[in-house]
Amino acid sequence: MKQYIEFILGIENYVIEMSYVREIIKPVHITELVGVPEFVKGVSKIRDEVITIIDLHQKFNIDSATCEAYEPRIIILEFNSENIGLLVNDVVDILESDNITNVPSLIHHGIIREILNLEDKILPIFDIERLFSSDVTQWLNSEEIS
Amino acid sequence: MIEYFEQIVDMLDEAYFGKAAVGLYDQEKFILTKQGSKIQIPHKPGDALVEGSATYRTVKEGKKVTQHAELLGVKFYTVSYPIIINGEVIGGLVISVPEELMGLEEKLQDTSHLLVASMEQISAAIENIAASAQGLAEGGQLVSNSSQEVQGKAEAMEEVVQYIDSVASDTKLLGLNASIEAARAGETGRGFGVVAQEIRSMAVSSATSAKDIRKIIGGIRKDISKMTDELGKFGNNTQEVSASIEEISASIESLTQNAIQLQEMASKL
Repeated sequence: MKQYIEFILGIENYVIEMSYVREIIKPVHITELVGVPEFVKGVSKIRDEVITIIDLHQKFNIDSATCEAYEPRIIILEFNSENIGLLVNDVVDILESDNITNVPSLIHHGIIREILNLEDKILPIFDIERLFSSDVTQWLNSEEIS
Repeated sequence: MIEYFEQIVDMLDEAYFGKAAVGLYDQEKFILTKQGSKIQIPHKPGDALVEGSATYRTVKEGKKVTQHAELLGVKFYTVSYPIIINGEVIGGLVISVPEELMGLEEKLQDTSHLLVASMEQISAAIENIAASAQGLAEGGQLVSNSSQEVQGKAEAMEEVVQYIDSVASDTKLLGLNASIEAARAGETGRGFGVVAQEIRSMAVSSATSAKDIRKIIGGIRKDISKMTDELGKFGNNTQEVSASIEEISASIESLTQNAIQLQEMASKL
């Protein structure tokens, strides 16, 4: 059984595999960068490390105004020793399940590939590899390379 | 000479407010009669004095004669006075007065006594009401102060609840991160994972409790708000009552003055 972290982005609930999550923190000061794509909110210093903060609101066309009641968090993801901080509207709970269904990759700009099937609800699974290899990180990678 | 006494008839008539019957007679007959509104002399000028009547006896005996009689259901009192000039009875004056007029001064005195006594009782009662209204107003003020205190305490409670909320939120975060670490540690982290789970449960129940308390506080504040509104209305009512009491008191005061004047007048009768 795999463990997933359920979170809220905009008005929808998503999950992400817990093995990719390093830590969840409360929002911290984000230093904005110039000349970055709009989904890059900036960088933050977290535990003596500088981590890039990603905000998918614009990419998902989410209206920030509807998210007032939640408690925003930053989920720090780790993949192949690269770290990204994902800005979310709330972290709900930890779920355990094996019930996964595939979906066409055209949904959600390719970041969703599978769906978690639960008794009372279904939750799209954030695909970390896709997230890290999509244009979101293309830019980051290109920056690091140069 | 008896004609000079005609003026007295008018005077006597006025003195008894027109209610008495007055007559002037000489040694043999009636010269002038004035009928009363309540009583009549069964004679007119020129009528001879009736033998045995008060007027007849006055002339014959030369002294005052009084008589109680009843005519047509009206009790009256008759006084007949001789007019003596140079030792000779030349005639007389007769007055018949309804008996109710005679007792009037006594009745007036009694009535005015009662009136003054009643006025004093009413005044005492009014003072009681005024004191009660005052007590009510003070009580109302006390309740108002208490409700303000409760309002303040409710606000303080709200702050505490907010703190509980923030602690619950932090605890949840701690629990999540602990679970993440436990999963990372694999088998060795299993025990730690259980602890993490418990911490997360605690956080959930704390948050739920905080929400419940918030609801209760909200209810309290609504009740206080309602109470404050009612108190406002209550305060207005008591003020109106007080104002009315003052008006009544003023009326009673002037009535009492009139009653006292009446009493003085009655005692002089």
